[in-house]
Amino acid sequence: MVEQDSEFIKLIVEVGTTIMFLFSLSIVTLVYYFYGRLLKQKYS
Amino acid sequence: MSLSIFLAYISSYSLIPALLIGGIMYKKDVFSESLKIVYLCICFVLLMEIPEWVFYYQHKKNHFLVNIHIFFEFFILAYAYYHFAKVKIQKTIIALFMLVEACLLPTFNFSSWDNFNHFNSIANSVASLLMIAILFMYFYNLLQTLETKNILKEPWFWISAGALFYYSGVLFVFIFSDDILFSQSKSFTILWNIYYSFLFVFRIFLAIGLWLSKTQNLLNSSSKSVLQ
Repeated sequence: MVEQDSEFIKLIVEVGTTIMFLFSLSIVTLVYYFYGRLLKQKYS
Repeated sequence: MSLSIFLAYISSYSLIPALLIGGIMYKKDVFSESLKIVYLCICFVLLMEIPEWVFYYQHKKNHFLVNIHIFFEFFILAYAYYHFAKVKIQKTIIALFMLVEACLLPTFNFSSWDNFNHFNSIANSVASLLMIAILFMYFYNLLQTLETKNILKEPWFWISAGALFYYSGVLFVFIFSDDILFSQSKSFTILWNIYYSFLFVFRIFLAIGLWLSKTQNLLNSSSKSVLQ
């Protein structure tokens, strides 16, 4: 039972960390992309 | 040498580039006030890491030092963003976040030394969440103000990106830190390596950000704030 719990927590941490990392990576990429576009719009 | 210890060494040594670059830039007087606070944060982290390693070599638990380290690291970084913000409402929100984190101090269990020397998952997880919110505010305002010509030469963009990777990456590790740190299973404790890996990334991004402080000053001679 304890081992099952450990495996479940391990899965949550691994999946959660992967999701959060991908989320932060997409935020940074989107900020970079939109910053370029908005800057182009502003000064074109 | 185990993978955990190797990663712990690497993440600690990765502080050196940020420290050296920061020292050079500080001497050249190219830092804005907010970047000086970030450099202060790096110096504080170094001061905390030395006793952490001393405790490790003496085979003593150093969790209380890690708690203090993460707690004040959040405080100093949040204060840097507070200093960076110009609009009152955002300063208020950041100040409120700092107050919330300070209110979580009682969750450090002072009842006994063993309890105190225990990783505080509540305070550290909340610190991660609050910092993610502060970073979102920064990115939102960066897009609103468009003050820098090249975003890749903006020091705060690199520092914030590194901080976002770190705080979002370690969030789940902090939430389940009790289970991870005190598990008997080796495959389970290896999850703590996630913390060291993201710490390494954050410190490298910090070094890049501090290095670019010189470039930013050449592009924008006046000290500007994007949190408006």
